Amino acid sequence: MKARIVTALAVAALAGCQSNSTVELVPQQTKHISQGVYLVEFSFAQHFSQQADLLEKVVGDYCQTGENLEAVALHWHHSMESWMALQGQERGPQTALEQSWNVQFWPDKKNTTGRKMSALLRQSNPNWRAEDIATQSVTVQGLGALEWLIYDSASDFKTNRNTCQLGLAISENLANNANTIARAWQTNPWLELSEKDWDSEYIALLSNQLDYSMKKLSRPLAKVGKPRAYFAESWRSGTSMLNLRQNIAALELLYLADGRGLDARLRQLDKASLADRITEQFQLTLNTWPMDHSLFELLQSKEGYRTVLAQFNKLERLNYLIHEEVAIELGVVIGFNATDGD
Amino acid sequence: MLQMVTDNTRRTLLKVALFGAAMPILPFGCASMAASKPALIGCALNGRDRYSVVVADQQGKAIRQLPLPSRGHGIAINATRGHAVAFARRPGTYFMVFDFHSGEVVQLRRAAGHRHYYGHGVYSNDGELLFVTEGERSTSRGIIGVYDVTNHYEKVAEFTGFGLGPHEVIAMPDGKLVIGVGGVHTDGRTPLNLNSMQPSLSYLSATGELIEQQTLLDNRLSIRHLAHDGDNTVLCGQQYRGQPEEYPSLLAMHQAGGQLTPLEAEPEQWARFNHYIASIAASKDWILATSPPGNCYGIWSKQSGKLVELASLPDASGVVARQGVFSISSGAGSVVTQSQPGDKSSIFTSIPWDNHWSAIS
Repeated sequence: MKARIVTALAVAALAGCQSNSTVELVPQQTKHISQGVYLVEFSFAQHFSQQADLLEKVVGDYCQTGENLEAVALHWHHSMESWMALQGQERGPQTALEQSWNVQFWPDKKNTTGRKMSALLRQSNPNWRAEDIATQSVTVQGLGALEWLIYDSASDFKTNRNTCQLGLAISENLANNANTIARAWQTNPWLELSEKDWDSEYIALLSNQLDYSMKKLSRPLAKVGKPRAYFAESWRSGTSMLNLRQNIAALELLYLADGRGLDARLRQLDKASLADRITEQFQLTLNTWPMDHSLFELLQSKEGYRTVLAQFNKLERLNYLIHEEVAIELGVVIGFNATDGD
Repeated sequence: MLQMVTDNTRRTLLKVALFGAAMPILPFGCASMAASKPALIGCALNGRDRYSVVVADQQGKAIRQLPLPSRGHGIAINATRGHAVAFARRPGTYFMVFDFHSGEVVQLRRAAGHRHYYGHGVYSNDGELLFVTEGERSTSRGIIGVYDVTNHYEKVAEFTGFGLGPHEVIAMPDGKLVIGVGGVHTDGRTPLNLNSMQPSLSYLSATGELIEQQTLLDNRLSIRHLAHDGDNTVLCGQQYRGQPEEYPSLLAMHQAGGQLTPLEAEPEQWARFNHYIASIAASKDWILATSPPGNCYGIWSKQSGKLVELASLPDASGVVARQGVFSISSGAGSVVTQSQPGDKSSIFTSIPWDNHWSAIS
């Protein structure tokens, strides 16, 4: 019961309380075994859509008045944080999964985003619309493109009306895509699954997202002593570590699913010890998460590198518990082609 | 330790040989069995460390399954005889021939001690011979094992001289064999020669003479999976073994005597495929390729060579084309049917399908 209340509060906290212009969507009510997880996903998607709407609004205001760039940056960051709950998903409604790649392109070691954004700006089209953006490369469609506009030194977002209009079109396209995702989650996509199939799907869901988060650390960490900091997700804004904390917090919510998730399932199966170890690992990881926001900066020093590596090891432990111990207990194999193809 | 693994494998092989032949095959769905006609065959997972080959109807619904000693990979089909072959995943220790109508195991053939299978094979067009990709364990020297179907699948020849690490072999309508030669020397599944690997698309005559060998500009593109369009165009899918931030084209088209032509997509679109193509199929107008690590598949226009659709599919696995319609399987259990870009439907089969499907034609 305690876990249920705490989780409900945490969902509300993660979902935020800001007003928004999004039509309130209603989740499907079912008695399926997946319903607890589905409701968490629904709230994540709804929240992301709300944040993307707000971002579009503040970009519009900024382009009109030229004032309050800080609000644009803040709402970009809120959108990014809310996206972390859905990032790396490979299981869920097809329509939502189709949009993931449009929301964010990563990793981008070769600065494809910068090159494609610069190419768009050279077209000097003063009337960019969301529909135009939707047909462009994924690198200019989503959160990474907006980060480039707001933070990159090559961007003249602050001084050029046409660039601002491009930013507005991108933020509108992002809001449209976020809305598509939220609408897709109005229906529980797992109703056909048996209990056994659901076990596989659920663990794959957690595992895919955790794996994605781990890649966000392992790619920039690269080889010891030779980090590749430009692999960091949000190196321009210096917020990669904040993003990752949100990833893990969201993953914990999915694991608990308001008392109807994997934690409860393990306890039902008399595997309380394993469930305890997982919740403790989540807590340890979150409680010791560095205060530094920028992974890029951390990787500039040996001490910072060690700090990041320590966090990566905590995620690796979490991955072991879910991917190995839980999967063995429940007799499931996760994405066996995806992780071990030929 | 190695000895124990070998003994276990031997015991499992024996078990499959005995039980596969003697036990009735367990159906997945009894109700629809009578009306179902075998149309698709693929390997699958039955739980942790339990593997099978599944005969399914045209929608991908299982009709029967046979247990396999270890994880399977590709399938060869001989519709005339009603035989199918499941090949063990590389480094494979067996291939299993079975009757796809009855489920009876015809033969379980083990690799010789110094050899292994690479996971694929194909029947000759007349169904008299079975060609299998094999390798020498110590060197990865590529071999096409030739087995006489009419004489209890006795090995009658070996074709060599095309390179290291052959993966898939297909038979062209004119009887030529085409081999995706990966070029990688492996110890088990560990690559040993990534700096000097020499992949190729190799054409052999039906009697084993090397008649053409094509290479890609980037030797880190290991040529692995193949398909042809029913005519004379070969498609090959690559695994990229180079720098992780590079996203080269992973698919190429080829016609005998010509150059390999890479299919086109933007680097950020290739990025989605995560450096790996698993299965390919082609219809008259379209080419479809899956990527399990990318959880996606793409459709290219055969005429323009350009990507026209990039679709999400968790653990996207096998694909076949029949009468212009693609059937795509998934390790997550769904099956997508798609005739052209944008026009698709899907069902959930509850079977964790492995990398490849073959169609009974």
